[in-house]
Amino acid sequence: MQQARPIPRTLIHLFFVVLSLAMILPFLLVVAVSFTDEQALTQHGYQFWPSDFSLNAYRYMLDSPVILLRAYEVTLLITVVGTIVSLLITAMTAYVVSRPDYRYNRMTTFYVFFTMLFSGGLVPSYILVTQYLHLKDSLLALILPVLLSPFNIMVMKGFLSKLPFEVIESAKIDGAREFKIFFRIILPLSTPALATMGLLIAFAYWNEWFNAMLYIDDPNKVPLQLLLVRTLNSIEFITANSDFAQQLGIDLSHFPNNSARMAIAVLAGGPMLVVFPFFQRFFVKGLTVGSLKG
Amino acid sequence: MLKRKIGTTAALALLTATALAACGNNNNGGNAAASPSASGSSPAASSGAAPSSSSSELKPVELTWYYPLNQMQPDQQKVEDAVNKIVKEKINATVKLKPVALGDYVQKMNTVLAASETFDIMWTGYLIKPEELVRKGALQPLDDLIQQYAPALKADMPQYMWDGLTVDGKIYGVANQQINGSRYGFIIQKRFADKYKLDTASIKKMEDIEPFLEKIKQGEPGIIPFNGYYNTVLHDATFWGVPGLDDHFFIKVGDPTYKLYRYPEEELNTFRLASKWYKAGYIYKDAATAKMNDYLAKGQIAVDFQNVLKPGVEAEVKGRNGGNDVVIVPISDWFTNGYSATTNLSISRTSKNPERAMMLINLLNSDAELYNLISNGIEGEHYTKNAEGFITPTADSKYRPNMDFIFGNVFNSYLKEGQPKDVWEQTKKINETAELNPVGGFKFNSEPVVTEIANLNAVWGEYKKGIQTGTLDFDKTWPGLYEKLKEAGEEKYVAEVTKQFEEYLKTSGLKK
Amino acid sequence: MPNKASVALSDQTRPSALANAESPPAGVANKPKRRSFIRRELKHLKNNRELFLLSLPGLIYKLIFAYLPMVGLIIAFKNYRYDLGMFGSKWVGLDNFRFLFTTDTAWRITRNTVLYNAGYMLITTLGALLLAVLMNELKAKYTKFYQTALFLPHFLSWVLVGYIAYAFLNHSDGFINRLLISLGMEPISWYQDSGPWPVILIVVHLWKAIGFTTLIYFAGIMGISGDYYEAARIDGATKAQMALKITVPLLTPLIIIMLILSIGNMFRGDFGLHYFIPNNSGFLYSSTDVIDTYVYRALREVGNVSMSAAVGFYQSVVGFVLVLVANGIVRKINPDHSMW
Repeated sequence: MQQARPIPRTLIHLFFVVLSLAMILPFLLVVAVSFTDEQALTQHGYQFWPSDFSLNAYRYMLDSPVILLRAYEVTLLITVVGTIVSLLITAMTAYVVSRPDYRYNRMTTFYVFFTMLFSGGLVPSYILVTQYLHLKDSLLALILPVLLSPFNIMVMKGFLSKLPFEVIESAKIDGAREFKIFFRIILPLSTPALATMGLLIAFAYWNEWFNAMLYIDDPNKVPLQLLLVRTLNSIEFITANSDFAQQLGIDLSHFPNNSARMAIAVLAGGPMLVVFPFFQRFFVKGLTVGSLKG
Repeated sequence: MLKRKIGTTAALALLTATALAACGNNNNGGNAAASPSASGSSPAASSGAAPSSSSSELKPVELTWYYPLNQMQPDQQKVEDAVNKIVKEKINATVKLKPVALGDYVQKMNTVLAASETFDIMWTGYLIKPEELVRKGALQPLDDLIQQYAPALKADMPQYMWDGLTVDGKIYGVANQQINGSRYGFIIQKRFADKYKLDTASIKKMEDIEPFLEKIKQGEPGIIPFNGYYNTVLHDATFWGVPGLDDHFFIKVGDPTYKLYRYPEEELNTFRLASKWYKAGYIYKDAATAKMNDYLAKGQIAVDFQNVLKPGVEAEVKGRNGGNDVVIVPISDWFTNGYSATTNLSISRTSKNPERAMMLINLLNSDAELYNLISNGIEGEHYTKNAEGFITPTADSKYRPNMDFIFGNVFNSYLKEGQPKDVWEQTKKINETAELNPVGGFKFNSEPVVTEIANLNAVWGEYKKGIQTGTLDFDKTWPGLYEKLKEAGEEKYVAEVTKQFEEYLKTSGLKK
Repeated sequence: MPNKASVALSDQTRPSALANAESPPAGVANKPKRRSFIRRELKHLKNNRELFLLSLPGLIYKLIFAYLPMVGLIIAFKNYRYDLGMFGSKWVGLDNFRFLFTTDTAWRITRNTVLYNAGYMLITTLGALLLAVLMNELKAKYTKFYQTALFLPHFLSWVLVGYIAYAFLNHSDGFINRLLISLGMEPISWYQDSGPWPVILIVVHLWKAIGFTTLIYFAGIMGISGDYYEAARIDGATKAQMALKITVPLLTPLIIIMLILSIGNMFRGDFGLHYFIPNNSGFLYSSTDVIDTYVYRALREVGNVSMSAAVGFYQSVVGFVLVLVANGIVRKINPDHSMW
């Protein structure tokens, strides 16, 4: 029995190493291009090893550090606040629908899930946020509209449904109220689920740009990803509408060039790599039921 | 019993109050009727003189102005403050500038408009046509405002420009004057033109450049002879394109019956030529799918085709061509389709201060200091002006929008290094003397056929690149493509266009 | 104390007990039945109130941010004018939907959308399950690294991935063609030949999405009590048997949820993937065009709010029907696993 295991394990490692390489490779290309001199890019195209090393792209970005720093601040703020609040409410809602003994279980699930399929669209949401909630140009407009995702709730429900019901029952026999059960027992027990969902929610907030494009006009409230996406969108736009661009003398040479675009991407996505390990420490194997008695 | 009495009394009280309020409003309305300005400004406004003299009597208001920018500028706030100094002094208003990234502008503005958000000025133009916005009820008519607050501006611009912004008899935008003519032709890298002793004067038609292309192909293995027809040709000696449609409707020059042609043979011949040149190897074999701008930037394309060869274009496109000098070979004269609403400022239906907004627009088009401030930045900080009045942007300038045509009359711009000293005179002359499209005033109401237009666009989107670059053999592809177009609603679309066009000919007096 | 417990635990049995006890004598009008029904429901509410309160923030949020704007669905049936707004614009029935159905292309884009989504769904699920199970065998410090690596593609936007894909597939000097040439083979004109694209798109989709899905299944596996594995090991089961007989069955509720969620989006094409990766090349449309890319192309110059709303509505309705069917099927097989 003990002999059979080591061999498959090295095979598994090999498999994962190859897979990881396939994942990392394109990312490395992005980093490499961001450090390549623009002239060299024009001549030789994208190379995995910069044909001519240059920090110009980063210099261009860091030239206006105020804008970049503000963007980091904004993104950090909405990510931290958004993740905490969203995680809490998602967990609460998901827990309630995961309880098989909850009478309104199926109704609530349907109520939540229905919103995933049908949406009023951009215009009514915009009217709601700007005219009824008066959130235009406010950071809340970046946090609230995406606070609760039906997908997250359903997946969380999937995680929580695996919690042993006996634990809850025994707590009830001891006279505990639902709130107490939730906060004292369920949350600690579902750490891996919370960490996973928290990570995914944090990523979503970190990458958020669409609501910022719609609702934010104040340049001091612009999140990180919007900086990147705005530039890329405009470049795409001009390329696709060359008639217009020509008539009005708009020229792609005025835009951040290839290496600068990649630099923005690295600056925007990079920090998440630091966050990831922080969450991973919670991905521990499930505690056994036995460890809870007492 | 008591309940009913109270109810009746309450109702009467309510009625009385409402009546009193209405009367009060009517009185105010009566007073206001004398001078249309809601701020009750002095008669100076209606005298036709510049409104600036009455600024002290105007109430301070805040105006909001949306416009697109290539890129957000770091010193945006600084410039806005400087702008407001001038604007406050002249018309006692503060402007909230709201630049939006070019790629997001259409979506964001459509959402803002759909939500009937309150704002004052927005840029309209080629990407977001004022006509369409008018049909959806987004803009307000400007005739009276222009009359009152911008009469000099009205006289300054040629009438056909105002016509181009007229929908159902009312004007809906103020054009930002700039080059308004088209002239198409070739942009050729000078080094090749010199090497092969190209006689530029002999090139009169597209086909004439063929021998030159052949020479490039033979003699320059690493160079792509021709870039492909990415721009439509809307006028030559025989045809005029009908504007505002899908660029495939034409009328014959000098035809008194103004017969409408759809996909005439001459247009199809351009595509046949592209196919021929593709097969001959003059067009890059991957032109339909490769990023041709990369090759252009490397200076690897010998001949490019463009349809706005404006004065000074050589300097402009030099950078695009890898830093190589170019010569231009126009094969048409200057012509214009009237004004196709390329770049304008319009006022939103939801604006609370349309009069003040119009004053601002007038200022942008007449006050050179204001215009150059917002187009180029603060002198000394963002650009330097030399003795002759030419400006050069400072290195790493933090305000360099490079979109003069968004803000106002381009002719008021300080001359930029590299432009000929009389560039504006030249341009104005071109605008005035360009051949005018006789049916340039035609405005098509697309509502009855939106479905068909959507599907036709989708079909063309699939084939366009392939045909323009000649990658798809035109004669082999056309029958199939035309079938698809018919299926998409081609016939219904053509019928509707013909119907509206005939009506236009009658109402404009072109045809009895 | 015991009273409370018995009340809570026997919640399920309560309703039926009460119903039996309170069936009214024949001849009496329906009123007592209705009153007892209301009383019964109120009692249930009382019993479930704590859980209900716990879910209340979520319910209120959804009411405000999702159900309220749903009013806008009517835009799909109106000719939306900016000055008339949602309620003032004219009704036009199904006119806005016409453009989706009148051409031959309609069949092509629908077929593509559905086939691709089904492919993505199945292949990503199988792949992610495999990876999650395998990762479970490794020590924590290794899984952390692999998980991070798998997740990297998630951070690159589709536009950027499009640039990278172009660097690989570019006909004249893309990496792949250069490799082919060096091996003595003919370079392929990737952006003009529609044949290989289903494979390309599925591979690229897998590359970008697998990290995400694997993480979810892995977290699911974390939630499985170690006791099961202990017991199986004592019984002498192999790793493969444990994976198949313990892990997968216990993950089934999660897998079903993920599948049903995907089914809801069956008619929504992944715009970024299908637009930027094929570099919007018309030659490839027969293989790569989906509903969302078609609509983008058709409406780009038309800018029609009503027609865009119509497309969204159509996609939602079809997704809804499919989900109802899927959930119904699951409910027949095992009511515990269905969503409602």
